[in-house]
Amino acid sequence: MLGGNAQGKTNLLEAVATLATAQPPFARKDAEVVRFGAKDAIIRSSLRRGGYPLRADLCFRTQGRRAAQIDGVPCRRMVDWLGKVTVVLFSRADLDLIQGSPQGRRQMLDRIIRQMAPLFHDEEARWSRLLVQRNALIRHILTGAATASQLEAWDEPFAVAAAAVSRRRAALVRSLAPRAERWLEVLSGGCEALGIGYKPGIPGGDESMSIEGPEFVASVLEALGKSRAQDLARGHATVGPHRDDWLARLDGRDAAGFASTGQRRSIVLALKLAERDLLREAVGEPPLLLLDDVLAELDPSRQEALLEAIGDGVQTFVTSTHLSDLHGAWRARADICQVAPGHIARPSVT
Amino acid sequence: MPLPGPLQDLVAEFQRLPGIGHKSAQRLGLHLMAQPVEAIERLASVLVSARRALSRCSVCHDLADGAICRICADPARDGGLLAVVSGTREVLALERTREFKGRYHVLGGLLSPLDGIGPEQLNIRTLLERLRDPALREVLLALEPTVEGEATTLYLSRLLVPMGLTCTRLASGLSAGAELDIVDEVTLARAFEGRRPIA
Repeated sequence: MLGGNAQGKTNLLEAVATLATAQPPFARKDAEVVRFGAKDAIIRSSLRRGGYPLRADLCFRTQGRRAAQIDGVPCRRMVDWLGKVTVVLFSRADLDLIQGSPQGRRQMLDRIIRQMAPLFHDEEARWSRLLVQRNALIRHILTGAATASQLEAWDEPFAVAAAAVSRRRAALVRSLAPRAERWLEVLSGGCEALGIGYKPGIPGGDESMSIEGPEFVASVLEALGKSRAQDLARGHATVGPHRDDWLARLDGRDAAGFASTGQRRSIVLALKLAERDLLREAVGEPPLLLLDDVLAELDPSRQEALLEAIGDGVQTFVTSTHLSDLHGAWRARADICQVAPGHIARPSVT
Repeated sequence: MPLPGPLQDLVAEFQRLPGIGHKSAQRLGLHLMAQPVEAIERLASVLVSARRALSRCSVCHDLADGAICRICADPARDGGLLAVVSGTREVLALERTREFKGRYHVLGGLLSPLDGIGPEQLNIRTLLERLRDPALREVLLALEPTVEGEATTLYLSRLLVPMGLTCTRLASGLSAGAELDIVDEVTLARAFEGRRPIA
């Protein structure tokens, strides 16, 4: 997809990525994906899954719930939608993953989990509802409208829901890590050793922490008890999955602080390839690969390594402003479309 | 085209009712306005007298047409079993089973700090008074499996269990006659979690 800035290239990739999780990857609210002045935004797609055609349509509204249809049949629950399309989205924002905010690193994990575990949708919803309720109670305690002892009724369900979310993320990092480590070895010609570990969002929580089993719920509960004074001082929960994080280490040292820009890009690329492998193993079909404006940021050797890693049979969408940013081997294998405001034309100049 | 003013007021009132959207409200309003005045007067007087005649049962807080509701007044009900529910709709639901022969206690809601509902806003003090009854064998916390229902269940169980009472809750999982391949993943996962040994 070739075109200048602000022509709608990312918009197209965003639409494809949205098909996977039913959640727009860059929007915080559904209303943000709707054109200004319009009431709703609709994505219509025709796909082939396991050799069978499938039609999947999603509708986002400025007001009201989103609606989804598979082959014209409305989905009663979002769980019925999930798992139909899997994607790996690699955008420019991902290049900052390693030294960026913990929030970005959590979102990256959650996007993968939503595609692999349909139940995560409910677990997340439950957890965020508990967070909102418990924070509301903390505010009532601060104004004197409630007593601190009332927190006890919320701490245990909070801990159970928090553990469910953190467990999913920890399990994902555990299966992502060895694959990413292998890919970095390939990308760096065996020179660099990557290590990735999960840090649960409780004080003192580190990578060695056991997250399986009831003892983790007990640790979260204990941490909640200990952080109560701090929670009350700040007016919100300071312990929980909203504080989870993961760390990348290069040759044993924190990559956020020590790795060069090029090395960090290689780590992100290794992670994306690991994500692709994992989704393929989980779903039995390779996911769609969406490369939004990132190819230009990778040097020719990394571009080549990526192309080789993708191999055949993986549908890949690439956006770029200049054809010259693409390594020759990429250009040779691509269908090139021109993106002008609001429409896409193919074939085009080569 | 805007509706005439008085009809607009009526539609706005209907829209405040649960489960009524704008279209239903308009439909109800137009239907009523097509009726003879006598029919409307009858409806209005039934509404007012129903509301005036009903109050809360002084024992269980369910709706009652006297000081005490029919279930609390019925000597045939099992006084050893008490179901704690959030509202009248839940009483009606349990009654429809015709299996539950115990008595009720209506909390009048569920804990929800977002809506400003804490233990003080629920009928918990009177529940604790009722628990002193020596005939009581079991308290069933029949609250819905939502975040708010579970927090309320937990809050109550913390109060009840130390009193030495048998405290139970409803099972959650498959519905009767369900076909496994049709059941949604969340329900099935719950049923799996709550699996139990046979015999």
